Amino acid sequence: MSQCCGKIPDDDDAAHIRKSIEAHGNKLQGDIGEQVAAQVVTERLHLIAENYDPPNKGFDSVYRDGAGKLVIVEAKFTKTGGLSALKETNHGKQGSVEWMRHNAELMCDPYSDHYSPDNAKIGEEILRVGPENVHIVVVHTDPGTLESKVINIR
Amino acid sequence: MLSKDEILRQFAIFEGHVKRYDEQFRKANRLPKNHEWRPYRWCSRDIVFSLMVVRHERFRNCLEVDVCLMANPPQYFENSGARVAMGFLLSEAYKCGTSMEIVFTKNVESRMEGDVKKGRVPAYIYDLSCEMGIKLKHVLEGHITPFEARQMYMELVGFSKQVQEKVMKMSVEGLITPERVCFLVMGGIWTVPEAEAIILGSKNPESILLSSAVPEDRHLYLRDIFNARGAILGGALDRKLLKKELLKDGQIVESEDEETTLSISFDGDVYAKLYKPQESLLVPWVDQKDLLLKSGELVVVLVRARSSSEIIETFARDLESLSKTVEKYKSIDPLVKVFYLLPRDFEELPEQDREKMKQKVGSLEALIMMSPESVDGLVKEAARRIETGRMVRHE
Repeated sequence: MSQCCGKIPDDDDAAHIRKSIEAHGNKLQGDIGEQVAAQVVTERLHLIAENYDPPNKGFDSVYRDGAGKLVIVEAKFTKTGGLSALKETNHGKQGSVEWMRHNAELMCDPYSDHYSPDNAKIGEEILRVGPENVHIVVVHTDPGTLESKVINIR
Repeated sequence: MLSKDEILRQFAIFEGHVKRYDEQFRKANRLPKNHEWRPYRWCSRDIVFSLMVVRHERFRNCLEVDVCLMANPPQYFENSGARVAMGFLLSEAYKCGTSMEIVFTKNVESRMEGDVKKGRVPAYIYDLSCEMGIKLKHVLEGHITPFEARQMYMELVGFSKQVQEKVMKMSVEGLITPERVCFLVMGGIWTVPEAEAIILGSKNPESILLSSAVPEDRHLYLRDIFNARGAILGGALDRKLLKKELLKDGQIVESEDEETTLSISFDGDVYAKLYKPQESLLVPWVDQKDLLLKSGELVVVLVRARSSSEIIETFARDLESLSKTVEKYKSIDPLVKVFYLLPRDFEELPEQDREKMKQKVGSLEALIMMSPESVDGLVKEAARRIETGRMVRHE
């Protein structure tokens, strides 16, 4: 990343930043991948969306299958396909048990950015059943062809 | 996660500070004092990472934060906004002479408790502390204690565990504060690998880091310069290896954004730098121009910032160290590549001597690496950095 520079802003800077916040809120960019993934998992896998407030980093979305079990859905909108699109984080690779546990813990922590009452319920359930027992699927969409593939991780 | 309305509410306070700053300082052509509110924005290109308004609260001797908005852009690493914000807040707290306590006002992610409006430590900063394994005890009271701040500063700078322990030991002995060491790195005087080379490779690192020896104390000052120049020579090699050269329109251009993925550590016993690249790269400054390092290969570089006369004088001793280094690291990794790094002054030696030295080094399965830096240049740079460090807060 380029050097991050600090500056005392003037009115023009502030006006530009306000415009950006008004347009995007707390999301810097709309995620097409997540929209496609939502369509794929509801239509193809018949999953039901769970009440979940996605933080900037963390699970993309949370669903339940026909048996009422939690399913974590990671949406990838990249050229590189499949599992290679999963990123390394400071708490293991996306989709790993360690990564799931860390995110579930943050979702239950009222001080965390990942917390909301709905997220806390999901986090508690993940920790109760054990992150290794929670299903996780990756919905990979090719930005060129817009074709989507579903990959089961667990 | 903050709602859009909450972000806009905090941003309105930020705008108010920007307007007031404009009236009080910019238009009046006056600079603010540390105890006056100052708005800052931290960006990389057109991405805003953090917006902050801070001042030194003199009575409590803490850094007070009135606005602390952060972004966590998905294309950057985790908690990047909080990292930028904390890097600034901690350095500012040190620079202003505070106790390192950071207090967030009621305007920061505020909530109502009865009729009282209260602020808190921002959620992004809390998440960053969790990532670092540091438990903040006063999140809802909105303050970070000096002890927590010190721990976060050390983690944020990214020193190795070995260096963190040595710094803490020096702190316990009353030699130097960890905050000063962190500030010297965050302030750009030393890079992390250079500071690590000083801390692990010299007998009195606190003297260099505190800039305590003045030129009038000739021997002490020269000792500091001697140690500092080794760290700077190693730093020059770090930069050369980290720099990525890309081909654009048939010409080699350096990339500002992309760096080679490379882990750098330091062996204080033999004063050597250890590199492990995560991608293939060419070895710089050696006779063999096409010598390639493969991904995952261990490279050990014995750093010796010596003038031509010193090279002659100490060559036998260096050869002994080189032999020990080769032996030590071959036992860990038989494919290790070992180099003996000298400044450009090596070129001043007669060709016959140079060839003999190359042969002797080669017989130990090592190679001589010659940096384009000269000892004179290194000494000048060392003196400049020590002088700059003298102007930094001393406690």
